[in-house]
Amino acid sequence: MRTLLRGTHPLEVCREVIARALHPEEVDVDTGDRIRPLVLDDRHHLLTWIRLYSRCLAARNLFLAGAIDRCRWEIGAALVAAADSPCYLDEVYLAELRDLLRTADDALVAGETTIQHHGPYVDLTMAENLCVTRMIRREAASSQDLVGPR
Amino acid sequence: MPANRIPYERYFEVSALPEPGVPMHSYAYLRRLTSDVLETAPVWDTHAHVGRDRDGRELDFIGLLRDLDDYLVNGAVIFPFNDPEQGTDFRVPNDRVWDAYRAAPERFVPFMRLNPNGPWEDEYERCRDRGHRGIKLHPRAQDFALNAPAAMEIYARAATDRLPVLVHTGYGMGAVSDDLAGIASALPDLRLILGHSTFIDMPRAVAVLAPYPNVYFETSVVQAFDLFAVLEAIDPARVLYGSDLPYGSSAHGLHELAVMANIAGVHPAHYADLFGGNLLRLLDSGADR
Repeated sequence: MRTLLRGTHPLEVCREVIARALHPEEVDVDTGDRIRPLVLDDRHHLLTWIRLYSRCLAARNLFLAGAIDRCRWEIGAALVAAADSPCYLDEVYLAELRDLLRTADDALVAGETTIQHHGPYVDLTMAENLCVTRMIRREAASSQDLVGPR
Repeated sequence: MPANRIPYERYFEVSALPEPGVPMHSYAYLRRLTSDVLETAPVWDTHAHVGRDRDGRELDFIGLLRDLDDYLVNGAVIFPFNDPEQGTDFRVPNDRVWDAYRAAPERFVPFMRLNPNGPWEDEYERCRDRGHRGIKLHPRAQDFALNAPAAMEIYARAATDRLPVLVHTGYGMGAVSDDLAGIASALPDLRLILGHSTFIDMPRAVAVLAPYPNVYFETSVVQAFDLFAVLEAIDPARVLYGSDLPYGSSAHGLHELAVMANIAGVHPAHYADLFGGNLLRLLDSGADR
């Protein structure tokens, strides 16, 4: 049985989920223009962020290899993958990821393309890190495993 | 709370979600993320550049202060970039750093940058005598081995003069742990700060270097899994927050360290040390030279 909540802001929605002791994976959020799940189930959550991580990793490695056109292609692919959040909560983090990717791309376009250029490397590493920190989530066996606010 | 239960935090990260209207790039968000340590304890950045780099990046002290102020970072260790005007001894860029320090002495701790392949001795003495409080070395940019004879001489002088040495161990470096262990072992009075936490040599580096209490890990631009390894295996008293400004930022540096410290299970009681307390103690321990 899924519960539909009205989306105002991620933090407020999450607080309501806690207050009502709902299971996060059984909540949909209506933002007015669309309805999305609050969070993805564990497999889709992991696969979403692995896809993004692999794009960022490839972009960083291609930058290190000096293959700038291919690096920019991977950044473009990452931006496509990050464009439309599959769940309500991840939009907060995907916006941050898009900013990092665009900053890296802007630096490449400006000519920061060699081993002496540290900037794109840093931006792409930060993008990778954001994906890694989103990936780390433990799986709840049941709603009984959930604990409310600390 | 039963130990086997999974907290909502793993789904929501409630403590890490910004309040309505609060952007992730804001002090208000980072204060929330860091358990208020930004509000209650001094925050000091171990890794920031002032001047300009051969790669075209530059940062003056005004721009640096602006970034620090946005996140209420109290101050930063500053040192030169790989400056196009470094000459053979970094005299010009060291003067840029000194000028920045003079402009805001309560906010900056000046380190000198040296080139072991050049005539470093006079520049070392000039900077030491006027008050630079540490040394930055970059083996890749200045093309020397970590344990090259001239570098070893610099470490020894620094140990004698109680100046910490921050050595680049990130982007473009190879496996460095054994060399670093050799240096730390040979010079137990040397305080060696590993810029970027030797990420190229992880996870071996934490195992090799954990036994050396005079080796410190600086956290800027470290991949998340490597930062986890540091925070899990190394005494939190030996971990130093860094941003790598202007390549990194206070926002990303603080965010990264706070999230990974939480994931690694570092007790929030240690956050004040990670974000500045450790650095201040390390600098104070050399202040009476």
